[in-house]
Amino acid sequence: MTVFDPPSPSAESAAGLRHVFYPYAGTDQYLQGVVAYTEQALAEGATVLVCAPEERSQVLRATLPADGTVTFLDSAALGRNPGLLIGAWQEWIGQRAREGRAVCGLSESQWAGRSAEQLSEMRYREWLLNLAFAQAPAWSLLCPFDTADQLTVDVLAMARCHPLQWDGAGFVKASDYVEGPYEFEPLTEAGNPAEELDYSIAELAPLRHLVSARALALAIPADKVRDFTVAVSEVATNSIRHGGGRGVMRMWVGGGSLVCELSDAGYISDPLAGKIRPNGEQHGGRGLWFAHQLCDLVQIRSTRQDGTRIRLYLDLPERP
Amino acid sequence: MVEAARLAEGFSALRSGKHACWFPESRDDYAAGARTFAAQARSAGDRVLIVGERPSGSREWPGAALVIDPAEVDAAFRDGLAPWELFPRLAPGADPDHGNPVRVLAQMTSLVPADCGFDELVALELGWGQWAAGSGASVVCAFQQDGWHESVLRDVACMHSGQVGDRRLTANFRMTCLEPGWWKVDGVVDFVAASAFGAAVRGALARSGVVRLRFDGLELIDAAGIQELVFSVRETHGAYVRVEAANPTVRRLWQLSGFDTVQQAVEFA
Repeated sequence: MTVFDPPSPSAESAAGLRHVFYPYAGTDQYLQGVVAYTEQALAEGATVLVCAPEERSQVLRATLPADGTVTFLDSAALGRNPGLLIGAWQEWIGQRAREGRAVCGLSESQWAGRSAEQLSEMRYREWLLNLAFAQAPAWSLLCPFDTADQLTVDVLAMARCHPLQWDGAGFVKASDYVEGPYEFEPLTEAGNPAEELDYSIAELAPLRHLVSARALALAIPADKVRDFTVAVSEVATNSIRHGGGRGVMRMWVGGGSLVCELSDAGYISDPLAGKIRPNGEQHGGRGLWFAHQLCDLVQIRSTRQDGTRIRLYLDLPERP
Repeated sequence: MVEAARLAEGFSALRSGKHACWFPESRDDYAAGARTFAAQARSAGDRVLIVGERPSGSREWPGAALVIDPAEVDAAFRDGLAPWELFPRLAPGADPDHGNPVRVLAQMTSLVPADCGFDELVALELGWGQWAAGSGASVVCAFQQDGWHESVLRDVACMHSGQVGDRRLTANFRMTCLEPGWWKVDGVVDFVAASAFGAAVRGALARSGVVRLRFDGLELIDAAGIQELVFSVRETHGAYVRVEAANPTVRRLWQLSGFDTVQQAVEFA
């Protein structure tokens, strides 16, 4: 039988995340694989953390040990924003690491009912987990993925994000994993801009006012508008400070969201910029983190040649 | 004429305990505005104290204003005394504790030494604000635009609870003293205003090592503003700041900032 300790994706280090893809079809295969993973983790003395949609959690609660060795996390903390994934796991495993406990996680996302933009960003966040936890203490994260009704290309896209695969009983190296650079899907076509503004430092306040007024006119709740306005302000501030001093804001409504796109001449070289929860000692590095946390979705495309485009999404209220 | 009318309206609306800034374009504008200030006070039956130069050619101020020579203030400043601490000796008739309300016009261009740093200037302005709030006097600080860099004027405007006259240079946020050690912060503290906010926090902490900041009028603070708050407190030995009445977005930013887990000297109530 395969020993539980999964192989490290990096030959140089035994630390970091063992990020494991588990494609399955049907509830029986799902439970079989998840139970085997959990049993092996518990046998090794690890604590098991589960973050799954509520209906999945209900099934697992009825199946996995109820002796306190398995903890069900609040998946609502992730909301619908893929940008919250890394920070949430950072916090969850950080708590256990401080207690000196080995951690085996199980992370299953709700893929159905997502927009193309959300799915694209969710896959990217899965891939980024490998970078985000490369220097962390050793822990593993199993990502079950229901292949039923999925296109082969979508299964492959997920497989590319995981260095390891769970075959239901043990770990194998994932042959489809792409270490990098990550290949982004192109951004969807921008909507017809309802508003467009060239901004520099002098336009920072008018820019906030424009965004806030537009969002309020769409009957978006005031607290969400305030959050979104901070996010836009942070990204525009980055343009002013690091992106050549100016940028262009375009704003439109599409796909059930207010979308605000900010473009500038800067280049974000670190793919983890704004993705990692800051600590209390660091100078700077919080603006983009705030933006990721305050919006419903953030997409970033940045190259040396074309500069940076950041799209911030704010969901419109559902119609009664 | 429009500017003069706006200025007169601003002087007239200034209430007891308030501390406002005024940015006259020139010496002539200052002189004309000062006369309006004194005349208005006279008509209201208030006492007037001018801390600054007499305009050339002018021997008398309307309104029987008391005038304190800036040279005396400058000497006192170098001895560590604030202008308002001179009032009992140099202008006993303007003591706010006795008699009719007092209106003070401070010509900052002549009061502040040329080598005064921004933090010193902030400390002086916060002192005016605290003195006004405590004494019930109203204070207008005049900064001639041709004597100061525009960015300094914008930042120094933040240390006042209001502004009169020309509004082309407006404050991003405003620090208003509610009582010693308790300040209200209104407006926006973004990265443009962050350094001024840091100076304001340091200035408030220099006056009182424990400071309460009311944020209910704060529309927005960004990452740069929060960092300035924390680092300004860290720079001040033994300092402690309690933030009150922050809106949910500001509270969330504080929790997201990472400062909440290590910064014991800043607390969000």
